[in-house]
Amino acid sequence: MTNHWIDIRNADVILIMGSNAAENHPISFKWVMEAKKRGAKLISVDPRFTRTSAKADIYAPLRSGTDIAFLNGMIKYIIDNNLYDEFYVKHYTNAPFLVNPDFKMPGELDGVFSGYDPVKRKYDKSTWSFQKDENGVIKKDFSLQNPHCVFQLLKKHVSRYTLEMVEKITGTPKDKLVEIYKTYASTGRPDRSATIMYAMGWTQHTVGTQIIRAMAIIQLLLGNIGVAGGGVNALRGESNVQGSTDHCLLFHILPGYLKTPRASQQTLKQYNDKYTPKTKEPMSANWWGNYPKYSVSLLKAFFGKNATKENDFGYEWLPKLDDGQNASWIMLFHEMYLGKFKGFFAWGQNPACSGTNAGKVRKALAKLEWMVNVNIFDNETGSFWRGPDMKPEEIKTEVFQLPAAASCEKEGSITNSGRWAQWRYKAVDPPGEAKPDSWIINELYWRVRKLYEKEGGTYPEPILNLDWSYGPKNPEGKVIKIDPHEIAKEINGYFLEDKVVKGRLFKKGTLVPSFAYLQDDGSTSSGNWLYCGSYTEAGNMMARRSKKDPTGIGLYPEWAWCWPVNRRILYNRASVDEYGRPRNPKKPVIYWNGSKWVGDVPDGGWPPLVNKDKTRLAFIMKPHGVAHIFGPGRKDGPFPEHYEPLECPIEANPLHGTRINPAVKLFYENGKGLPEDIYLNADKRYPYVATTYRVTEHWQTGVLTRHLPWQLEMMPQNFVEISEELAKEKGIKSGDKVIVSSARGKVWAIAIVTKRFKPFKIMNTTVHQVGLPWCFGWQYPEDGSGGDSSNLLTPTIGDANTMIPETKAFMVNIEKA
Amino acid sequence: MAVQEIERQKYISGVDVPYRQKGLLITPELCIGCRGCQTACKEWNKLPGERTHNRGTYENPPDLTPNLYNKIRFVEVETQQGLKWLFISQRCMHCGEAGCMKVCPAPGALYRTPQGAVAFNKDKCIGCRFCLAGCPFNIPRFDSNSKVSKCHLCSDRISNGLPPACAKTCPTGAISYGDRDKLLSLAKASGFKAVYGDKDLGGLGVMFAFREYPSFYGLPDTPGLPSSIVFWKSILKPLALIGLGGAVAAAAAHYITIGPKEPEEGGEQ
Amino acid sequence: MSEYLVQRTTTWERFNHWVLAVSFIILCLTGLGFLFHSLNWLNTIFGGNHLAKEIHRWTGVVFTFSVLFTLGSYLGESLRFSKEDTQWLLNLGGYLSKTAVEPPQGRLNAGQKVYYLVVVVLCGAVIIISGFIIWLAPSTAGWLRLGHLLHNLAFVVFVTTVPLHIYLSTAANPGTFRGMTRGTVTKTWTKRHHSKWAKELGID
Repeated sequence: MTNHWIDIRNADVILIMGSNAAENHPISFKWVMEAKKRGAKLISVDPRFTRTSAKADIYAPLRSGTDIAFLNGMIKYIIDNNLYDEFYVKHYTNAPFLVNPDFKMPGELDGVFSGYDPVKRKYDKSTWSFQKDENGVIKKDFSLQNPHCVFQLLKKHVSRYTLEMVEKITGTPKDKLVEIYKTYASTGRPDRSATIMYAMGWTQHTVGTQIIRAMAIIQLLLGNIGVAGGGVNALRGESNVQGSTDHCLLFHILPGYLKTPRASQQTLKQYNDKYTPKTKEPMSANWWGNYPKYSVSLLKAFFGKNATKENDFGYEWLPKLDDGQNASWIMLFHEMYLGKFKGFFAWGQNPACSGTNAGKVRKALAKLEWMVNVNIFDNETGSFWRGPDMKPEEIKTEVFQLPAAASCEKEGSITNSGRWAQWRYKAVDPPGEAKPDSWIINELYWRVRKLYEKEGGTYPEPILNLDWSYGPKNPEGKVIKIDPHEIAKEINGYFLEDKVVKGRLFKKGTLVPSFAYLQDDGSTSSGNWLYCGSYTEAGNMMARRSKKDPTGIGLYPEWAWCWPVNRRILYNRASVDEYGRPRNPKKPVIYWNGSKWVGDVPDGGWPPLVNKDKTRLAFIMKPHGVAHIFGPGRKDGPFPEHYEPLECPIEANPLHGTRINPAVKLFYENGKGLPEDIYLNADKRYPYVATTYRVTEHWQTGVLTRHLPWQLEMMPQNFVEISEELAKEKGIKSGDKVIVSSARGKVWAIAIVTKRFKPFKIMNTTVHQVGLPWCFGWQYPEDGSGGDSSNLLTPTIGDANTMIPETKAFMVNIEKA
Repeated sequence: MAVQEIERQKYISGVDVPYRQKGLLITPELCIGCRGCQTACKEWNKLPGERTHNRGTYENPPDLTPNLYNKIRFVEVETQQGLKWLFISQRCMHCGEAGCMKVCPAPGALYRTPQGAVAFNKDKCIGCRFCLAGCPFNIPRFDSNSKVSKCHLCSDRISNGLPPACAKTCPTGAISYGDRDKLLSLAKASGFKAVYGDKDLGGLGVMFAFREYPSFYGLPDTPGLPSSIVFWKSILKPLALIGLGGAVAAAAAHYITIGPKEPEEGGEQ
Repeated sequence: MSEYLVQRTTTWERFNHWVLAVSFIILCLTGLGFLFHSLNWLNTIFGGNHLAKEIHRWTGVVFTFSVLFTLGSYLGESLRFSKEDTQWLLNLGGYLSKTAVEPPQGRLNAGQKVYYLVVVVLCGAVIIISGFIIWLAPSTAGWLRLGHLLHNLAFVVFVTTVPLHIYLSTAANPGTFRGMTRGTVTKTWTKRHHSKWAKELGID
């Protein structure tokens, strides 16, 4: 979230699309309803009428996987009707930037941008560049008229997304499109703001990143980023998934979104040079220019005294990815299936149900020598070997079950979607032999370390040089009790020697007050620069619980702590005019009082734009200081373009000759590939569009909730929701048991025949859409009455940029059981 | 004895009083059907989860049970404004004029708490199930011993100054708990012209704020005691006493005025 | 048997009558205890509400059988209505004046026949069936309301008529009560109140 949960109440229009907040983020609806009480309009766009739609002022259906067409249509509407916020677009975005004249767009190149290599399925991005003057400064046209300026290119790009075309692709009735576009675009005025709440309904597509890009462009055109009640807000699917991501849950990042080193970056200097952006723009703060300070401080946190200037602060001890290697979820299980893994830690997860194409995941698990399953309950992953279609006598995988403590059985912080790190206390002891994750990791670390000490082995240095000061140690040196406060302090960072920074003297051993004080000379440490300031000499900022709200817009700056530097609304300097006056005086986020900013923590203390020599542009994390309407960093194009899902009901993209995202990695093509990875497009055997989702009553794969009789009582069995029209066609009655099958697998489900699903008219044919939850699994309830995971149906394909699987749009068939 | 104590005794004695202190205001248009209240109720009241099956709807269990005091009904209706999906809490309304208490033959089995809730005491309940006959909303359910079970407004919580579990857990304010008169003015301030249960049945303890007709939500438009109960209460019950007294009085009067049919003189003893 | 006496009731009849009477009184007292919270103390006599409920139910079973057994004794005779019976009813059995003459009556007078048919048989059936509905029918508001209403309707009739029955068989008609204690009545009493029956018995 660029903003935060409470801020939703400040919105004048709320678009919930690609998420079902009422069901999966019910607490957020406290603020949605508060906004509605204050007059906000709620819009729900979803293939089915959900509990969110039930509360919406406007509901519109759309076919799964066509969000970009819907949103590009909105961009066109905003530009055609001059509803954009001109001041904002000119000052805070790259709309005036002039693009390389050789840059070509899908309208000109039959669905691809310039530089496409169809063999490698990759773009050469050299034409996706800006025109620069002799000093290397980007050329701009602030009148936005130059045909090569980003704004004109965008206008040209979306010109193909007419209402008629969008209706043909999405199946959304034209009048609904206009109603929604008009309502949403009404927030192009400075005194109005709109927010978008999205989740996996947007990310889990082959074009997931570009859907969010499209929305970001809309928000930028309307001036809705950095303001109260605005932003681009991802609703995270788990209470601490934001924290996990900040602390490098994913393969390609280190804590604080530093990059994982690649094999070709042999030295720290090569690494830092590669990832430290440079700019010639005079007014850009280019905050990532501080990259070396953060990477060195991180290495100091990892390796402590063993990290010295002479040994590149231990940079060589970091594991490195091969150049071009992708090690995301789909790839991990693909390689596991190919037998390339010996062992696997399934830590707090249930891939046998949650992974896309779960049948393949289950087979992959059988190829392992060993697996460690760390969880509160046993699950379909830990017991995969005795699951359906498994022959236990043939499976050699040795499974170790480690019972873990639940969140309320241990102390620590969690970071919510709004980036608030909140300290939690232990309520009760874990039952039986269950242990906190930190206890398990500490044991694991100590035993691995002992083995390395005793037996040597290949490259023991990374482990032997780790700094592991997380609590009192026994004479042998083992930490006997992990102290979460020590971990939190290490994440914040210390001064490792007496140091004067910005005229202030900091004593050795004191906590760093903010990342502005971090150094690249080894004098500071920080386990995650974004969290620098969360645990300072003033105490544990995350444990604060003050309900003071000095701004009156619900920032609550002294409740917990928010990264970065307790800034509650990111890019808040985009909420003011060139004199630093709030453009929406009713909901001011910050204002310039003549000598400093008042309100939220600003994106840097530089004075407003009129002070041309001293000011810095609002989007400090962007190299050029402005937000990207033209986003050349993506792998699949600088503008979002509609491509069909891997499996869709039509044979061709209605817009051009490129059906699916040309930059995605294909696992199966023309009969080549694993049989498990098969997909069938526009195939009569699988004629219905399917999507998957969660329900309020169950959490993720249901491992936590299926064991709760109260939750199971409300949602006892897997179901598939179908329209009355399809039910009539297939002779299915509500409550009937049906078999839902895809090219990859099948599950049984109870049919819920409902008015909430309606057939679509797509390209003049009737297309039926169905939906299933993925919260069930064969293991519990024990009698098998719950059914199995709907991920047995989903395909092996991921987004071009993130490799997040496309589980929200695929094709199935339904038959009465 | 303090005034409150007198009031308390009056309540506990089961004497029905036409006013209420505390109550719930349910606003269906704020309800997102998350059923946090359904679970929170079970958790607080230590009610077991029951085995169910999917019947082709999200709504489950199908009806209130002795282990389900509060249930959200899911109703899909096509209206002129498009499809509506309604989520409505079904539970005891804590009527001011509580039909269940009127018909209950065992004093104290159903009782009015000091906060105005209609609570129950299974020890005193004799399992006759008359309360179901007296209830205008079809609420009371009976456990395997035929003892009454229903929402008691978390009387054990509200008597200690805590809101009922359902109201505490509701994320959107669709269930709000508080002083009944304050809830009423709150609803009026939010633009609801009439509040369901404001005056009906002596004022309901669980009131609904909505803009549609009550029947849209499956509630009786003008809730009242069942007519058979009214007939019984206002006619039959007094008539039984009048009849008994009248018969005795008539006999006495006859004996005094006309007198017995004495045996004829000379008759044998 | 004394020469002055006539056998009016059999031992079985008397036994059943007293079973009926006692069960009725128990049902009535517990019923009143349930019906009026102010009379709930009555149930204390029966060991509290829980026990009173069980007593009421099982006494109801006894009452049911007892009512069934009366059918053999009285139903046939009660259904046989004569011209004198009508006359008897028209002048209300002569109870409203000191001088009225009773039309000749059989073993049961018309009042007793009407009382038996309307109260014991009809209202008895209603109160019995509704009682079993309340006890055993499915737990739905509809069944309970029906049972509740009928039970109370019949009860009103019972509490209104039973005291009159007791009065008429005791204080209002000296010499009657022994018919239900010792089983005999005097010949004089028989001629006075049931002259037709007296004629049948050959009493002059």
